[in-house]
Amino acid sequence: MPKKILIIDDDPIVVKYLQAVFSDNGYETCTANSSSEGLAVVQKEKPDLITLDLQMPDEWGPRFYRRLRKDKNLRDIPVIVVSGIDGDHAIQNAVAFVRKPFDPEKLVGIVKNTIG
Amino acid sequence: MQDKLLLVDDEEGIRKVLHISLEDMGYTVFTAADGAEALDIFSEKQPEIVLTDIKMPGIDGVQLLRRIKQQNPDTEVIMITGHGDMDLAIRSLKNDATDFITKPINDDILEISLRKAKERILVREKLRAYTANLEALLREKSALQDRLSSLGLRISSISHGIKGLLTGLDGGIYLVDGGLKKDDPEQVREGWGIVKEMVERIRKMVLDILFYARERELKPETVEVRRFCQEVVQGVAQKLKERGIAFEQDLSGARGRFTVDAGYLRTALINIIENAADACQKKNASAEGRVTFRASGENGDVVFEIADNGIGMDAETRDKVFDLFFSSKGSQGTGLGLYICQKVVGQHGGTIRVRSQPGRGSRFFVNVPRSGPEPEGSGNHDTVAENGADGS
Repeated sequence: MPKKILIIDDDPIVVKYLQAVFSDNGYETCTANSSSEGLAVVQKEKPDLITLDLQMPDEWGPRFYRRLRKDKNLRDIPVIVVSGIDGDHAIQNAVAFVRKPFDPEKLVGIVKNTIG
Repeated sequence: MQDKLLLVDDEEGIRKVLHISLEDMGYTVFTAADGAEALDIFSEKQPEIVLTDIKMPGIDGVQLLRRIKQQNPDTEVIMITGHGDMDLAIRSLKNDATDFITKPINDDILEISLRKAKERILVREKLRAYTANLEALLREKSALQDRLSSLGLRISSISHGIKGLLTGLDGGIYLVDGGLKKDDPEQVREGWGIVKEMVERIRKMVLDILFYARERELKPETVEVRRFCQEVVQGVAQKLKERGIAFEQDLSGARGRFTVDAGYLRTALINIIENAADACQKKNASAEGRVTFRASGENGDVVFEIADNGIGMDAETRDKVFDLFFSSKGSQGTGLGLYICQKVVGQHGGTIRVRSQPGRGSRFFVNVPRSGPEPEGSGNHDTVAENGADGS
């Protein structure tokens, strides 16, 4: 069964881009365009990995991350930060920080190393 | 200017002799015969240096020294002592006397002692000047730091926008490439659509930045208000239709002519209308998005009104909406659009106001004087954010 990746980003084009990159490499994807939606999708889809944007309208990525880490059932899901912001703001224990614009092959490499 | 010196001694002979010596050395000399008189003169004349006998009837030299230091600690006080006054002399030094000289007074020793006092005064003045300079420098530095950090903030917010656009462009290219490889024309089409959109957004951003970076002089021309409005409508009608947003116009009040840089002002109004469309599209309501563009005349101004039934703004957003690099659109906005609108309208001597409430849409009013822009440099522009309590 293919592994599932949740993409959280407020820019629909970036979401589409990541979807294409991951599905071309044999992963299933689900998406959310905000932190709050992201939390709902995590509960429902139980993804194997999450890519998270930091700067989003309404609620920024770090807040999503904090909520995720508080939930016993979800806290072990690996998170890759994909963001245009420099610095690793408030996301401890992220698998990796990938800066936008990113190299899709490198990103896939990180994903493969993490969940196979 | 001559230095002022107060000489205090109860012996008239000494006062007379020293008075002459001190004047020869270039001082303006005041004399007092006892402590009480000395204090009066001191208060009135504020001499920098006091030369006082240590043993006097009434207020003695050490008491006088203390009182003077209380009044002005910067005063240099030199004590005149007789033989066997060593204890008093030491007490004087403990009370911060500059020096003591012994009777009978040798002019050379007096001069050295006075020079010492003068040096202390000069050093203190220099120190004060340095301190003042240092404080001024510190103030300048912190002002500069404020400017730099706000500039840094601006650059970081714009660089974030640029990174987002480049990522989107990469995404479009990736989809086109993948679609070509897989022979999937639908994906190629989708990718190409994204590439075009990103190029358009990057173009807009670059032009906005160039606009922001450069002060451009207006090229005013006198045009018919109605025709101007029709050009604005032509610039946006098709785009809004494509986005499924109803666009209504009421140009019945658009009469007469006005003098403006038509190209510039048109761009500004189109920007506001496109913002209005964005605000409608962000609202996930069943009601259809609707943007209204109205023109009318009022007290020598032409008034444009752009209203939408979109998401509206809270007070915080409303207050910042014209700020440079402020954007409520996340990665989609550059924070330049309304800033530039305000600048353009301001250059025309006009004003922009906004009324808005969350969930109830926004209403922008752009007033432009018919008489045309004032000469460069005297532009009178301001912006007002109002709350939407009037129920409009």
